[in-house]
Amino acid sequence: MAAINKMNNGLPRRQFLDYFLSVGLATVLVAMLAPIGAYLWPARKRGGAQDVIDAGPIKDWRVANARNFQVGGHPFAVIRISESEFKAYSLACPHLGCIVQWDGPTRTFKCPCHAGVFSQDGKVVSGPPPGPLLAYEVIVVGDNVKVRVPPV
Amino acid sequence: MNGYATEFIIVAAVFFQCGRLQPASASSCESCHAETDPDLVERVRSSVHAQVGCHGCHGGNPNVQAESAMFDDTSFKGKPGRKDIPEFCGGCHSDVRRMNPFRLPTDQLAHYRTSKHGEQLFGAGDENVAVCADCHGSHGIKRPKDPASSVHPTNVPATCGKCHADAATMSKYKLSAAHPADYERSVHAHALRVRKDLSAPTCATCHGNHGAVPPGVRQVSEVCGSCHIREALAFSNSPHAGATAAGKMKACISCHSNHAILHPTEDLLRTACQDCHKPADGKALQVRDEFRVGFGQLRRDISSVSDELQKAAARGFDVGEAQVQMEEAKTALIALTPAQHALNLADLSKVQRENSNRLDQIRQSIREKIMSEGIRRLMFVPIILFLLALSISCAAKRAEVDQNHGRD
Repeated sequence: MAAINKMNNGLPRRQFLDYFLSVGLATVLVAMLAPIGAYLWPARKRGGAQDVIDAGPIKDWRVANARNFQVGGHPFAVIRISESEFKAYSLACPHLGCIVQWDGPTRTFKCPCHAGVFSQDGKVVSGPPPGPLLAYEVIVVGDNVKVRVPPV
Repeated sequence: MNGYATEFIIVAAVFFQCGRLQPASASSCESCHAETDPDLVERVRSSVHAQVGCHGCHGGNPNVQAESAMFDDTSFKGKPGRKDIPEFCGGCHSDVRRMNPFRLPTDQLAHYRTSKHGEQLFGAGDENVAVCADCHGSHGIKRPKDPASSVHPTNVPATCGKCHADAATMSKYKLSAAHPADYERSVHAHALRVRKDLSAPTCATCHGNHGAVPPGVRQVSEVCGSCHIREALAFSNSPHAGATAAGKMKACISCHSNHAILHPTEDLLRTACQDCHKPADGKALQVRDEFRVGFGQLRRDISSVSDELQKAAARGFDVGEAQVQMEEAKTALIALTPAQHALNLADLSKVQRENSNRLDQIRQSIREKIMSEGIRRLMFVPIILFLLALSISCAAKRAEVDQNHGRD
């Protein structure tokens, strides 16, 4: 009852209005400034990185092993060809678009659909594929392997 | 002085080179034959044999003018008879020493002797069969990789068709003249002509080129299997392999035909099986029906989820992982097509089970994204209420300020 009385007297109501307005307007101000801050903040982990995919550290990556990734629904693999050489290829078979699989022991990509075989250079070894696998550029930065993928 | 010497050497080298590349330009053969048949001379000059020169095949002495170049030279061979053409060409093309620098095989003549053409020519003395010049041409021969060559993959069907599409010629050998036209309707011709796939099979791919013979019934699955590896492997594990070995079935041909091989659809299962399996043969037709229904269902499921996926992508959702799963589902379905030749229902069940899991996961991921979007939309309600309250508060504050101003 006392609180209602105070509200009726007007002072607490005024204080409440002032608090609410202060907090509310501050919130709106922050909401307006947030995009500006986000734009000005140094873009270390985002922005411009969508076309360069981090394939992970060289450490623990054995020769003739592949790591699979996807970008925009397009699967691709990065293979360690030798101690110093990495290669990346789209896994879409140029024949009918089936997903090819890396076979480490034979160092070939094999298509499960029509037995197309590709070498570790992406070239057709046998089978019906009319052309090689699409190759992506690999960049080794320090101990990390990165792949530049075409824009999706 | 050095500059003049260098120029002299370059000019001399160019002259020398021209002389080497075009020996025929100094040939007395050309100077006479160009008057009567200039086109003939031009064809030789633009052919793969330009450097061989007329005398390389026909003999004679190109350095002697007029008719003495031919008749006074014992090496002159003139125009060979049809029966002599294979050995005429084989004079060089079977010579390992001559062909080695060009990395060309030297067994074409040996192959030709084993072909139906060679058997007819050398065995039966039938000079109407194809000899080298009928397929390759004579004076204007191009490399097989040259699109203008009569033996370039895109031209092979027409080259074989010159004889094999001629009903009058083929009737003499009791052969059908429909094969070239049938081929043009086939999935192989579609790959060659529409998809521009030069590795697509033409006549020579299945029948051989120089040693051309029709494959026997028992070799058909091996001929088709040289490209369709997975189909052939699955077929060899099917009940049809035994039937083919027993001569009750013509392997691949029984279902797909030979030259007019059309794109196989589910409908082929309906029509082809019935040709051999009668309704009383319940088990075989049951397997057929399960494959047919299974394929149809797999295709419809993929199509339906693919539509959902496309809609989700169009709404701006990140569906990358789901798209990869969709590609895997499609791959499994495409890979089942060759595997079905084993007629093993376990293969079908495996793909059905795996694809069902994949498609469920895709649906689930789309559902979660739609739900997440719904929750985010719901968040608009408190935000709008907050902005409304803020506006009312501003109005109240203004009224209060106005009131205070009034008192003052």
